[in-house]
Amino acid sequence: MKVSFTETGTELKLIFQGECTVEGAEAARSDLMGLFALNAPLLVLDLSLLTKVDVTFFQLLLAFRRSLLDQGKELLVLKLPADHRVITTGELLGFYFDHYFPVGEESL
Amino acid sequence: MKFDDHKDLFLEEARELLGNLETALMELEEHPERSSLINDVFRALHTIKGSGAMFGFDNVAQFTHSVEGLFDEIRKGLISINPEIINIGLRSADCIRLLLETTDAGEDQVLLLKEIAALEQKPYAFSPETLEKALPQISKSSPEEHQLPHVFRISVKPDPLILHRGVKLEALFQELQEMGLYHCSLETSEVPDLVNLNPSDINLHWNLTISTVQSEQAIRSVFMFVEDYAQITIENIDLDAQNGEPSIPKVGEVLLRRGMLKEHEIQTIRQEQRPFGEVAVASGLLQQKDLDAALAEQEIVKSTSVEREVRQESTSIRVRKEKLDFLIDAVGELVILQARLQQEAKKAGISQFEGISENLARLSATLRDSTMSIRMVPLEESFSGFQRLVRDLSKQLKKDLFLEIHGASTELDKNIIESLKDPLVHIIRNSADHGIEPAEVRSKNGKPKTGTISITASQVGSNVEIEIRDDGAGLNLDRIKARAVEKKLLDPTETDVNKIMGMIFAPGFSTAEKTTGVSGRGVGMDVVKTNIEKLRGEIALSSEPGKGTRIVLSIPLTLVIVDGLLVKVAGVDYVLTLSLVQECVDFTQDIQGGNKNHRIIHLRGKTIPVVDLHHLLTGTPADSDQDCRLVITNIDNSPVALKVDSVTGKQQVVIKPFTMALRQIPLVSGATILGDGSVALILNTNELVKTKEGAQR
Repeated sequence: MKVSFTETGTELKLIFQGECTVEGAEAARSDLMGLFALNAPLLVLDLSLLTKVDVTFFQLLLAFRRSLLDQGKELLVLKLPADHRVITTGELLGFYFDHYFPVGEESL
Repeated sequence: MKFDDHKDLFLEEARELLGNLETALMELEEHPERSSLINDVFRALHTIKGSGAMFGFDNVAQFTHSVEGLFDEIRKGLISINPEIINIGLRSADCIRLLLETTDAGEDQVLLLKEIAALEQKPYAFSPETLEKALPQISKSSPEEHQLPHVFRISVKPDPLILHRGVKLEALFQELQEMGLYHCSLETSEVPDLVNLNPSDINLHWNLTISTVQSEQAIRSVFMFVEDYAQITIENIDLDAQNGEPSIPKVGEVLLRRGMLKEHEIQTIRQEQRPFGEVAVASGLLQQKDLDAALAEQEIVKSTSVEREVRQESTSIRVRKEKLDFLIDAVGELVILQARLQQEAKKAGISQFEGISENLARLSATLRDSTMSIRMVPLEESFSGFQRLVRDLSKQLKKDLFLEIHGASTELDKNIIESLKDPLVHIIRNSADHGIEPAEVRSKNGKPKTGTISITASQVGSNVEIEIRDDGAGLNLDRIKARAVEKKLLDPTETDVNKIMGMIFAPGFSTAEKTTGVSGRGVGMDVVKTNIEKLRGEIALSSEPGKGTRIVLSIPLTLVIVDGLLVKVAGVDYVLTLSLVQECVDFTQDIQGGNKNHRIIHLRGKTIPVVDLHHLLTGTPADSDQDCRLVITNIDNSPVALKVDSVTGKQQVVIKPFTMALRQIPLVSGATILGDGSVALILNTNELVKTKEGAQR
């Protein structure tokens, strides 16, 4: 899994790419932990480049969201996954993006 | 369809339900611990009550309501099953049956209502064990219901280390999703923040709702390999916990059962005059995602309910018998017409015409078979009443009797099944009364105290064989012979065991010393024989002293179309039922014997009497025996040779019944139309040999 980010003013854009499964979950957690040092109050997620996920990915997002909320920061999804398999895995596991994150205009 | 037609359908359905009710009650008598049977009883009563009220059978509805109330108490574990209750149930079934025919079921109806009222007030031994055993099983469905979808809620709470065991949760859920309608709701309250998260540990749990035709066991088997690493609970949620019937829960009920809201919170929300979900979310008592999950679950229950109704309606359809008879007649006409067309096509010699005719022949054969199969119904409907009969006989005769039934799913034409009921009742009564010995005699002879009567049905070619066997004393041949000689039915020198045994089918014959009310009047077994012969069937009888008696009824699958053997006598075509024919042989000099009045043949060491059909049917013997053929058939366990001018061949014939006037002619049992349009009579083989000419054989 590859997590990259770009910072524009007060907004931090996180881009998840490729496969986000248990094998890369610890590395992804470290990447996300590193972002806490940055002070952007708004984080937006671009999930459009994801190709495969498992249950650990959704749990990671939920834990990340909890940490950000604790810090008074906001997290929204700018782009939903483009790969249908990612969406269906989410539905299979009861994870509906709009239940947990405000979905940005680009995703609608 | 007119209201009266609906009424008739209700009556038919009610009679079936009463049969089911009796079967369930008797099974319950044997297995009082099987609470699913209480449900079967309750369901049958409930349906009779509901439909009865709908069709104006108010007495039926009112009375059934009282009986249903009693079984409701039993379902709740407030009253225990005991023989008294089974008796009340069975008598109630009789009462309902009477109420369906008349408006008053007499004294027993009043008596039953009093007994039921007394039982309901009587503080019967309340046993928590019974209740505990009964309640969880109430929601269990019977095997046939597994064909219909049910909704299950599954809670999955995995051990945090489940992924370390190599379990792929996605694959597990995928398997459940493939079972039917599926909704998954994720519980995230235990997910820590990122700092405290071990990403390969799972802190999530799930509530799944699935609608499936699979059983609870099948769902459980999906979790077979993760049972040690997850807490799994599965519950059926589309059946009402109170009455075991399908119900659609309100959103509040779903949320309560899911533990999302408490009872008092639901009451508070309901006080608002706004939609429940809207108030629950706005008040902060509920998250939108939990409301969505509850609504999704409710939607699944609703659509499953619709699906169940559609499936129930589409799996069977009741059609009036007259409509079916008309269809069968029309198909019969088509078969005849097609045979005629085929004959004409051959005569014309036009290949294209012949090709079309052959295709039509195939099509009409398919249509004929499909139409015939509509009339085929399993014997179990008729057999189910015999359990009750044997139970009552057991009490009446003070004998321990057990009835075994095998092959009840064997199918037979519905008309035949109806005609078989009386003969079978006679045979069972005889077995119980004369066959099975009293318990003390059985014990003396080293037999189990309980006498067994078994009925086994199976399909053998184009016939159904029903074997009725008992493990009683067997036929007393000496007594039968003595009584037959006394009645001048048998020659005192007769030694043929089959002939002596066959005497039990003679009209008015009985060896019983006294009439018991169950049998012994000598008006049973001859009726059996007559009825079976009317069905073009055969009876075989065998018996072993001290071991028991065996009667085998062989009945053609249908009465409408039979395989026939076409023969010619005096230039006229006749049909013999093929199933009764053993073989055909030439009437050659070397096998002939006897004299002009008593002709016989010697065939492979057997002496067989000859019945000359030419003489019998025309009144004069044939000019010559040259080229004549013999059709060997079996009458009363003995072979008989029917002499005919020629044998044309096998043919499937559509039987056309006679009008009332022609039904009096015993020698013929019907007529058929041949391929050339001519009419051929179907000969009644049994009656042929009873005639004067036959008697001279």
